[in-house]
Amino acid sequence: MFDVPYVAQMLTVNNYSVAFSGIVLLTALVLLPFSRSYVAAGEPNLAEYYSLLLFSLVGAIMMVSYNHLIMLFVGIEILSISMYCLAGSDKRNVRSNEAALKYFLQGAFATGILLFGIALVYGATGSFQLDGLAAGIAAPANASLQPMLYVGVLMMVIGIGFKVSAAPFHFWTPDVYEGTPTFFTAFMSTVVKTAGFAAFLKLLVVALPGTSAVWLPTIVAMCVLTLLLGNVGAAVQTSAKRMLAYSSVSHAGYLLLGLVAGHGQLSGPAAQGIFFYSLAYSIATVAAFGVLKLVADQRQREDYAGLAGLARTNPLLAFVMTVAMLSLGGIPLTGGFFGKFFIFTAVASQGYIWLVVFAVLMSMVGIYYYLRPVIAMYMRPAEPGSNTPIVVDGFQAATLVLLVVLTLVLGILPGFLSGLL
Amino acid sequence: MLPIVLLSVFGIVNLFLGFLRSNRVLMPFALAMLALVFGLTCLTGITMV
Repeated sequence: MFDVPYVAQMLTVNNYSVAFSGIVLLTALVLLPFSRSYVAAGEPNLAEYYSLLLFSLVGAIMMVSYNHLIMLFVGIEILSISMYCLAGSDKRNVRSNEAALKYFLQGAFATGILLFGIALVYGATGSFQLDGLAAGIAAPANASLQPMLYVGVLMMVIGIGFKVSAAPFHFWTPDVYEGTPTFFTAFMSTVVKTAGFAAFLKLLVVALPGTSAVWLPTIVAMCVLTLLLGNVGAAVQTSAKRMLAYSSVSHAGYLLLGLVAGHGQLSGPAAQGIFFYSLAYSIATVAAFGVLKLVADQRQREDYAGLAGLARTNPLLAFVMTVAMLSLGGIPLTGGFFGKFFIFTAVASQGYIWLVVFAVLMSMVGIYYYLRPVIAMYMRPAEPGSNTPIVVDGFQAATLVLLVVLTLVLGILPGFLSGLL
Repeated sequence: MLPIVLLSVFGIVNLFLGFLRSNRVLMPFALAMLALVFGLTCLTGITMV
C-alpha cells in the first residue's frame, strides 16, 4: 500500500484515507444544494454554517487519515464541536436546542471515555503511533500492565461506539436526529458515520489486532444489539425522520459486521465492504433526507402522512425517495444490495454464519419499514391542504437525479469501485 | 494533507464573506471549493492506483 506520512507521521495518506476522504467530500458536495431554503428563511448566520461544515470535513478527513491517537482525538473533536453547533443552528426551535444540548452532553461524555481509554492504552504500550501500539501489544514490556491495556481498549471501543451510534450507546440518536435541522441531520448520519467507521476499522485492524480477544466479542455483542434495536425501533415509528434516525442506528449494525470480519488487514474484503457500504448508504441517505427536507419545508410535517400523495404531485421526488428506500433496504440493482452483499460475504468467510443469518433476518424487518414511505407516496391520497406540488429548483432536481443514477450504477456495476482498497 | 489545508482556508475565507449574507454567493462558493477539494482527492487516488 502507498503510504505518505505527514505532520511527523501523525497523519498518513494512502488508498484507504483517500477512498474514505472521497466519500465524505462527495457526500458533502451532493448535500449542499439542499441548503438553499435558508434563503427563504432569512437565516442571518449562513457563512458560519458553511464554514462549520467545511471545518467538520477537516475533522472527518483527519479521522480517516490518522496514524497517531492524538490526531484521531483532534479529528473527532473538530468534527464533533462543529456538529454540536450545527445541531442547534435553528435557534428559535426548542427541539433544535434540545438536540444540541443532548448531543453535546453525550459527546462530551463519550470523548471523556475515549480519552481515558487512550491514556490507559498509552500507559500500557508507551506509544500513540498505530504501529508502535501494535508492537507494544505484541511484545509487552511489562505483563502486569495487560489488564490496564484491556480496560483501555474497551473504553476506546465504547467511546467510538457512542460516536457512531452503536447500541447500547445509541440512545441519543433518535432525539438528536429528530431535533436537528434536516439538512444537518443528513450530514450527521452520513459524514460522521463514515468517518467514524473508517477510524474504528483502522484502529482495530492496524493498532489493536493483538487485543482482538477483548474487542471482538464486544463488537459482536454490540453488532447484534445494534441490528436488533435499530431495526425494531425503526419499524414502530410514525415519523419518517425518526424512522431514518433508527435506520441509521441499524446501518451502524451492518457496518459493525464489517469490523467483525476486518481483523488482520486494511485492504481486504472487510475494508472493501465497509467502503462500498458507506458510499451506497451515504448516497441513499442524502437522497432520502433531501426529499424529506423539501417535503418538510413546504408541508410542515415529517411523518408518513406528509409524504402521502407525493407520487401524484411530484413524481420525481417520489421516485427518488423510492430508489433511496430500496437501496437502504438492500434490494438488488441498487448500491445498498452490494454493500450488504460484500459485508455479509466477508463476515461469512470468517465463520460467523449465525451472525450473517441474523443480519439477513434484520434486513427483512428493514424492508418492512422502508416500504412504508413508498406505500404512503404511491397508494395513499394526499392529506387535505397537501395537494400542491412541492417546489424543487433545477439544481436540486439535477442533484436528486444524480443520486439516483449513482445508486443504480453502484447496484449494476459494483466492480469498478471494488478494487480501490 | 492538501484537502485539510484547503478546507481550513476556505472555511476561514467563507467566514469573512459572511457580511454578504446571501446564499446565492455563499453556497456556490462552498460548493466550488468542495468540488475543487474533491477533484484533488480523486486525482490523488488516481495517481496512487
